[in-house]
Amino acid sequence: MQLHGKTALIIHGDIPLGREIALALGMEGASLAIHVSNPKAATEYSLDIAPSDKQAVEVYASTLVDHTAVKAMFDKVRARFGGIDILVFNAKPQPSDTVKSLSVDDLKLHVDTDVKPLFWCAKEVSKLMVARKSGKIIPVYFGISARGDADLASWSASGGAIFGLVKCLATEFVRYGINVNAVSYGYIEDVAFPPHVRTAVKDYVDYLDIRRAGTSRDVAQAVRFLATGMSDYMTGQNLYVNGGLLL
Amino acid sequence: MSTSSELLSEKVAIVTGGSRGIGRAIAHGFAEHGAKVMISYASADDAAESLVAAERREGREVTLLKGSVTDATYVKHLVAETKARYGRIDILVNNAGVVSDKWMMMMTDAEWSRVIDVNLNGTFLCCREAIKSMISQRSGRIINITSVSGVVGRAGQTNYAASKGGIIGLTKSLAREVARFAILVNAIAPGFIQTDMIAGISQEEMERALTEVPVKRVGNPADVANAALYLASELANYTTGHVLHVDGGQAM
Repeated sequence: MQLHGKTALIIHGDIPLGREIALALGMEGASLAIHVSNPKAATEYSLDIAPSDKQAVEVYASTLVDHTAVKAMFDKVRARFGGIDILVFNAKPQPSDTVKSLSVDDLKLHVDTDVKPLFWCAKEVSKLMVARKSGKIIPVYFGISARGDADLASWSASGGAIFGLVKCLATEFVRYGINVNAVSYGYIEDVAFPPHVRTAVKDYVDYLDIRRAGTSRDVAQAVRFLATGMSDYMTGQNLYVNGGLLL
Repeated sequence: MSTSSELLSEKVAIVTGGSRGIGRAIAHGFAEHGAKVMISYASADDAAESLVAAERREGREVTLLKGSVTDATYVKHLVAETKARYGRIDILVNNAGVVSDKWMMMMTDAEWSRVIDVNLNGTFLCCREAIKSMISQRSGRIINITSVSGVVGRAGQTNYAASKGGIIGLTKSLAREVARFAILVNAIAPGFIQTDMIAGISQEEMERALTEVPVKRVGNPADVANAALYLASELANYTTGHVLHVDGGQAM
């Protein structure tokens, strides 16, 4: 139980990937602050683990629509848990398409749901982690930006922005003992790819030498590795969980 | 990752260069997590024997086999002996490596060849032999220890960086070749790690070197061993052809 006494905040803990990550960190002993996007999801949220009496699990609904909303959530988490040791930021799947078909609003949606909230969350969590001189920040995103995918222009663009931000955060926060590493996943079966991309995903998987799509569990185990002391000498890295897709 | 014996329980691993430094930490970490470990080493008898004695005192299963990874006959023997003793090979860690730093103008043919021979050719020989067993098992993990030098280069290390860059190309190509047999091949690129390899560096040189390392500390062999443990275990079931940097942010 390497994460006993630690608190993890998981952004978008209600998407399948977020749930699996919550489970993996919870099984490692962490207390969980789980963000979901709306109050309805918060009331319906349940995890398939029985937390020990030393573990707390709380769910927080927030739109993450602006810095004020993000800050309000962090204030609540801080009041309840006293601090945050691990921040997992799941980029949220949104509609995407080719550049030709994509509207600027679609692109903006990705910036609004992935890039800006990550920026605000990093700002807020850094205040807590700097005080403790330790912390792990783990953005989790679709790693297609490293290679490009014609049908996923906005995912590719936001992924590139996320990873650029990861390297900056790693450099900026290293002096405070904060590690910032991303998990960059490939074709994962539980990820809500846009319908027209689903067929393409199948083609990609056939092309992969490993011949299978990944699972949310595969991604969650990588997050678990980055959340523990096992990865203390790593920062600014992109851990691939992609079956060899982006070599 | 939670209890000590669960990650590699019942797995069989070969670790080359396993008597000292990073290889020693990997052999120890694997044995601690339940693996049966065949330790290959070339010269440091005392270090090798003290490691085996310490592991056996804890009731762990480790075996020593002395020889050079540049010798194809030895490598065949290493794999055969591992199978004879433990029945299979689940994990191969190619860690054996040497340095022989010199500016290229002054570098002799022998200095060039020896580094390429141990680091790159040794990795090739061990991989070629081990995948025969792994293919028939339809499972396996190979972890090649490369270096941040092989990614970004380092003055005075043309031979070492070439050997380590070569390992990265080998890793990615072999990952593609054997993925269909459920064999995953990854590399770890350590930065400055506290081992004999950097023991000769002066305090002043070390301080200068650390200016390139954002975390401002030299890594421990255990930091690399933990990454190897991750890649060898079922935590990393969907990662192949990857180069995992354990370098304190040196090469982002």
